[in-house]
Amino acid sequence: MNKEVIKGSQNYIPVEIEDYPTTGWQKFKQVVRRSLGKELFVGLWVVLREMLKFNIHTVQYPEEVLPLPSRYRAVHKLLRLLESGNERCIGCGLCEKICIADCIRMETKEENGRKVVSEYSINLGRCIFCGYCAEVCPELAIVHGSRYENASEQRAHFVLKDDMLTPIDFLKEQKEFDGFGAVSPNADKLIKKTPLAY
Amino acid sequence: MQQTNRLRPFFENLTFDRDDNHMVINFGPQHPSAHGQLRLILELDGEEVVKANPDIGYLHRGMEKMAENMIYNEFLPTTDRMDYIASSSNNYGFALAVEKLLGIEDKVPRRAKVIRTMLLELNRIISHQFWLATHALDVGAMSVFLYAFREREWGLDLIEDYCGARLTHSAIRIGGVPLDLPEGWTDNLAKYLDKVERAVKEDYEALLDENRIWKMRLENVGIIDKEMARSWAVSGIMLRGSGFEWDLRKEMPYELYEELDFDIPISDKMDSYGRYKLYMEEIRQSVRILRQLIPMYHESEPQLMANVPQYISPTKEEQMTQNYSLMQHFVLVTQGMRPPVGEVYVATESPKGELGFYINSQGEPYPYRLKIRAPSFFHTGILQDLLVGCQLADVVTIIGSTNIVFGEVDR
Ligand code: SF4
Ligand code: SF4
Repeated sequence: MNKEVIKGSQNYIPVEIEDYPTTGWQKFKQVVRRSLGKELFVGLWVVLREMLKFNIHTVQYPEEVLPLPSRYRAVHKLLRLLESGNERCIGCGLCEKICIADCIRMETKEENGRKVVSEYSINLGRCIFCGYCAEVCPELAIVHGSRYENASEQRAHFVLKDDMLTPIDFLKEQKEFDGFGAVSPNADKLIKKTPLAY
Repeated sequence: MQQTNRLRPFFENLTFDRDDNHMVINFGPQHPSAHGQLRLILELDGEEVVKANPDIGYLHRGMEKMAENMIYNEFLPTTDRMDYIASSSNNYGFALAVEKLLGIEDKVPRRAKVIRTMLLELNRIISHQFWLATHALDVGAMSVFLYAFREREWGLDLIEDYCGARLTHSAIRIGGVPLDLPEGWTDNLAKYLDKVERAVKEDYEALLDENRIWKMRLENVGIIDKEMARSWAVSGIMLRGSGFEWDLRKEMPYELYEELDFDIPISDKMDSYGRYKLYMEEIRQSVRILRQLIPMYHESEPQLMANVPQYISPTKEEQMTQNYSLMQHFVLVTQGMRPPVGEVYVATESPKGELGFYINSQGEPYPYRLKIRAPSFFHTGILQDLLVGCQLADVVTIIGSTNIVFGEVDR
C-alpha cells in the first residue's frame, strides 16, 4: 500500500495523584479534612442519585427475557431450501471436520443416485458454540438458532437431526442466520463474474 | 517421608519452619476472592505473611499441546478460553502471529483492521470494568461492583450484536474478521462510550477516589519497585504502575495504533492505588480511541478478509458462485493452511499486559510448537515476593490489584 501512513501521537503521561501524607501533621490535616469534608456523603449521594433515576436494569427472568440479537449463537438449526423444501445439507462433511469439540456426527447413504444425509447429530454437551460449523458450511445448511434454554432430562435430547431440521410445514417461517458464515447483506453487488483468483 | 496430619501439613517441594508458632494456611483454590483457581500457601506470623507460595495448575487444559493437533483455524476458538474476560484480544494475538508467519499481515483489509482495533479496545474497557468490579468487591465496595457490571453488560451487548457471543467471542479470524458490523452498531457504540465516560467519572471515581476505606486499603499496599518489576518480568499496567514507560501499542505498533491519538498513563506511586488510577485513565483513553475509529470505519472499503487464496478461504459469496473457490475452501478446511517453515513471536498489549504467541512451523498444517506468554502467569509469580511482609487482609487486595485471570495462567 502506498498510502501515506498518518501518524497519530501517543504520549506517556503521568497520572495525577496527590502525595500521600507522611508526617504526623500531614496525616492529622488529612483526618480533619476528611471528617469535615463531604467525602463520607459522596458515596451515599451517588447511590441515591442512581436510585432516584428509577432506571432499573434487572430483568425478571424467566418472566421477562432479553431480546437476542440475530447473530446470537445458540442451539443449531438445519435449514431447508426455500423453493423446493428439500434439505440444504449435501453431506459434504466440512462441519464434521472443522468442529473443534468434535461433536458433530453424520451418516450418509445413497438414494436414487444421490447422497442423502440419513443421520445428523450434534452433541450439545460438548459443543462450544464457536460458530465454525455455520461458517464453513458451503450450503448455509447448518446455522445457529436462538434456543438457549438447554436443560433436559436426557442426553439423547442433545440433539438429533429431527430437532434441528425446519419442519416442512413451517418452511415459510424459516429465517436466514445473520451471524458467522452468513453471506454479506450486499452480496449480489460484491460477486465478481470471472473466477480468476483461484 | 514426612508424617502428615492436620497439625503437620505436607507440601511437595516446600519446607516450612515448624519450630516456631507460625501458621501455614491454604488460601484457595476455592477461596471466593482468590480470583479463580489460585491456591496460595501462606506462612503466617500472627497476621503477617512470612512466606507466600502461589500454586497453580488447577485450570490446566493443555492448550499448547492441543494446538499441536489442530489446524491453525481450529485453534482460534480455543484461545477464547485463556483470558476469558477479554477473549478477542487473545484471538487477535493468535491471528496476528499466524499472519506474521504467513507474511500476510499487510494484506489484511482496512475495514477488518478498524473492526479489530475496535474490538480490542472494547475488550480493554470491558476487562478493566470487570477488574474494577471484582477488585472493589474484594475490598468491600459492593455498589461499585454493581455499577461496573452494569456498564460491562452493555459493552457485552455490543459484542454480542457483532459476533453472537458474550464471553467466548471468536470474533477475529486469521486474515481479517468474519463479519461486518451490523447496521447501527456504531451509533450504539457512540452511545455506549458516552455512558462509560460518564460512569467512570460520576460513578466509579466519585465512589472510590476519595473514599477513605478504599484509600486506606490501597495506598502503599502492594508496592512493586522498579527492581522487582524488572526481575519478575511484569507487563501492562503492573509495569506502568511502577513508573516504566512501556506500552506495546506505542513501542511496537500493530493494527491502527500508529494512526491514533491516545495517551498512555503511567504512575510512579508503585502501589495499588496508583494502578487503580491507571485503569481508570486507560478506560478513558480507550473511549477516546474508539471515538476516532468510528469515522475511520465509515470511510473504509467493505472487504473483510485478506485475499490470499493460498491460505485464506474465499468469501461465502465466492464459494456459492465459483467452482474453484469452493474447491479451495474444501482443501483449506479439510487439510488446513500450510504456513512456510519458520518461527515467529508476536507480542500484543492485551488488557492484562504483554500477551505473546510463539509459533514454530515445520510447513505442516499443524504447528510444531506453540507457546503462549501469558501476562498473568508472571503476575502470579510476583506474589511470592510481593506478599511477604504484608497483612493477611492485604493479600486479597494485592491479588485483586494484579488482575490475574486463571484461564490464562494455567492455559
Ligand atoms: S458450534 Fe463449534 S463446537 Fe458446536 S457443533 Fe459447531 S463447530 Fe462444533
Ligand atoms: S457443512 Fe453444511 S452441507 Fe456440509 S455436511 Fe455440514 S451441514 Fe451439510
